[in-house]
Amino acid sequence: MSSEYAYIGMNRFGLGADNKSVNTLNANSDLPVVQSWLINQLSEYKLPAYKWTSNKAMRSHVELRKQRDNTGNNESKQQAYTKTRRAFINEVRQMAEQTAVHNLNHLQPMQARLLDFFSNHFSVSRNNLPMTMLAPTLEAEAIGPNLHMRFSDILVAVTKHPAMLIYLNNEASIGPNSNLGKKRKGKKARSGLNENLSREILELHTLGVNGGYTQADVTELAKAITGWSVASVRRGEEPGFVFRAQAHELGDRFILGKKYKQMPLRERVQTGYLVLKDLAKQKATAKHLSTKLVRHFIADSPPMTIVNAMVEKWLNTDGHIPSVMGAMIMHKDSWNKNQNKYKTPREFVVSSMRAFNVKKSAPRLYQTLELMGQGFFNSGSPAGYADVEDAWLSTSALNTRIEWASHFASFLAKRKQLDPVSAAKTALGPFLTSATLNAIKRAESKEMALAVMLLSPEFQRR
Amino acid sequence: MMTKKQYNKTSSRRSFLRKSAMLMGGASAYVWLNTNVAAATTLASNAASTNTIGNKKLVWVFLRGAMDSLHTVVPKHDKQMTILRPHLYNALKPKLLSLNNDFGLHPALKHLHKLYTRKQMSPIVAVASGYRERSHFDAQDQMESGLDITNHDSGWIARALQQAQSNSSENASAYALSRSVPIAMRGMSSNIETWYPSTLPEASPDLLSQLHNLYQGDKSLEDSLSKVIKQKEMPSMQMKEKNRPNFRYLAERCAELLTNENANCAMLELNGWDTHNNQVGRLARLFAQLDGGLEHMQNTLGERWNDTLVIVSTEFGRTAAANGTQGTDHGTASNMFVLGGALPAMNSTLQGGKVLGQWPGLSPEQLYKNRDLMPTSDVRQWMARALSAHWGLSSLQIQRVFPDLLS
Repeated sequence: MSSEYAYIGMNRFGLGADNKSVNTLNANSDLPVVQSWLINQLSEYKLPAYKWTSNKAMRSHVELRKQRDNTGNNESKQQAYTKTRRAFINEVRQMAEQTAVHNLNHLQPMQARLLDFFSNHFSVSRNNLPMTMLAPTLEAEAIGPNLHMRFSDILVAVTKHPAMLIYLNNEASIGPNSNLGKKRKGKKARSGLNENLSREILELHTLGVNGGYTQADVTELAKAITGWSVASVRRGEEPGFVFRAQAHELGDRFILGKKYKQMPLRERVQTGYLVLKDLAKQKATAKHLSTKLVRHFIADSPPMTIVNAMVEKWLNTDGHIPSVMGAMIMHKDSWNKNQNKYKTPREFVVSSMRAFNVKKSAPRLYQTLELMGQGFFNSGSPAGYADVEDAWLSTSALNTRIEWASHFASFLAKRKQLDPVSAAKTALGPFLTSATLNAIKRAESKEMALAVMLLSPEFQRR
Repeated sequence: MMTKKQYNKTSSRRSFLRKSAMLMGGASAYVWLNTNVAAATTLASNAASTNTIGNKKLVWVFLRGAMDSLHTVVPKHDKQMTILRPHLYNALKPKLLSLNNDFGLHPALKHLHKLYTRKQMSPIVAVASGYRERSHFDAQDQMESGLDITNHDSGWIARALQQAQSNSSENASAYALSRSVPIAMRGMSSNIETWYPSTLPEASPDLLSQLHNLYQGDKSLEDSLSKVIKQKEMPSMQMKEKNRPNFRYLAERCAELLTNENANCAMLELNGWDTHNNQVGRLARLFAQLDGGLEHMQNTLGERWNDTLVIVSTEFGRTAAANGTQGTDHGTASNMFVLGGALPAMNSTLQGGKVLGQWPGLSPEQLYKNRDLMPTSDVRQWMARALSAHWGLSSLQIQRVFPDLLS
């Protein structure tokens, strides 16, 4: 039987206990062993080989628009368009599910959790067709490959990714005194500086709401990233990030009291990199991110002792993510035996699937999360989904969770070898209460026993 | 309480708004912003004598996708209609339900028209929020938030409820007919409940009672489960068919929640208004759904209809001219509706049986950016009137709900 520490390690920092991790941790289960098991996970995170990419999304979108524009009132052409569109969207959905399912049986569950965390931190929503096609590529291309690096690496990769540039409207932001801006002055065309991305970088991605920046900083950062744009496939450009020097605002930039001198014309994209790297190092950023990380892993009200240790590590390592997470793992307050954290719908579904080594949800994962109010890339806000209990324990949310768990249990119950009591012991170890165990044993059916286990307080919390 | 985030954002957007107001319509557009708001607050303080929320129910129906107001409340004799949108206009013209000498209502809005004749419904023409771009999603968020710069954690209904609550000894509470708390109701989690019919099979009562025992030591799970069980005990709240719930079904359940529970407020949605093509048929179907849903809501509410005010609004309007695919594209001003048995008692604050708002006209120079119906009043201004007349909010309280109305 594993120790409480092993179970805290698997549940609080991972996606739950399954046979594989239980066996790994079984023999040596005191705290230092569990800690090094977690720390060893913080290396490069290998993602699945995806068929869908942001480049493909950009090409397909242009293709779709062409097809739509040619349909006119021709019914069979309209049907063909709808069919192509559905096929693309289905590929995109598969990609989102692929990431989640890949994480399910992965040997680095903690990295999987970090990927979810940063994907929600840099939230993009599928609020129109281009974003529907692009959204899941952001985590796969800009976040996943940088999880073992510095925060600034993720920040830069995300900020220049087409999904983020389009979602927060930076792709068409033009400096008023750039060459392009001067040419367009006085014309009616809707063009000019767009501050959306800049504001969210400061408010959500780095410093945080009370991070000590002003409106002037927002405007200056927006100017620093003018010209950070997306290639126009329609005009024959290769898809991906492009820097449009012609749209880049002229002059020096002043951000948080620091001067960034104007670069030579061809190198002006560098200003944005420099500013982002400086922002990533700020103490306010360290505090904002560490607080969110502790809230995500440990408790809705983050213990400041852990946050402070992480901030210190952040400042000493330039925001090296494995080091900062190491500070969380090594802190004694992270191992409190109270299960304070209520799982989000996604964590609940994924850990249920993991507990029974199931790769498919019914209905399919995409639909399940949609029903539970936490659909893939559907938070509808650049702030992402809430990460506190209040948001997920509403009446309809709990009702849907109960219905889903009971539905899922009815599928599991068809497995002849499955014994609910031993499944509960494997999944919950020393956290399985006698009340839950008795309810499982007394349940009128296997289906009921499994539903009770999944819906027990100790399985819903970590 | 206003967070720093809100303050920074609001102040910057305000100056932007002023500028855009001047750009869009010169001095006149700028004036309505101030004078009409002043009028709304005077009325609000007059109405503040009934300082209790009591049994007054407020329902907000949010039409997502941007409803085409020129196809809803139609200026029947405006020659511009035959120039801008001949096909769309001619399809409607002979069947319009008369509102007054100038306007006719879409023929599918039969019940709304009946209410109009009883002074229990008024359309309000040429309204918009502070939003002037073209994104549905940003515009919807902004309308739900009710602020010039969207705060995703603070909604206008939540702020209004908070104010109403402070006038009353009883708890004010609200229902959202959605899977998670919509922006409009964010900011006071404890008094907001969500309800949405599930497409999953229902859990057995036995499982619920097992869980009820198991949750004894976990207060938040126990509280939430008690509410789940309570909802299930209302016979009408059980899904009969497991199909995708339609608007009529939701509207009836909404009324049910308002009658059986001590709830003051509910929000529900009807999607599908983004009619870029084949608008005539699509809108006829949508209006029939909206109209039928509201009729059934009224029937289910029974006597409580007399204490009910319903606000229907959409995030923005559509282009004055039709496009090449027999539809319309994203525009600016649209119309809204206020209806309910409580309307006749509101007298001059919010008059029933009248086409409210100021009609800007449709000639090229009267259009916004030569393209869209010009907004002549702010949606929030009418919401503010509703809150003062229905819930008795004072002008100071209205300011807290809609801080950007009073700059």
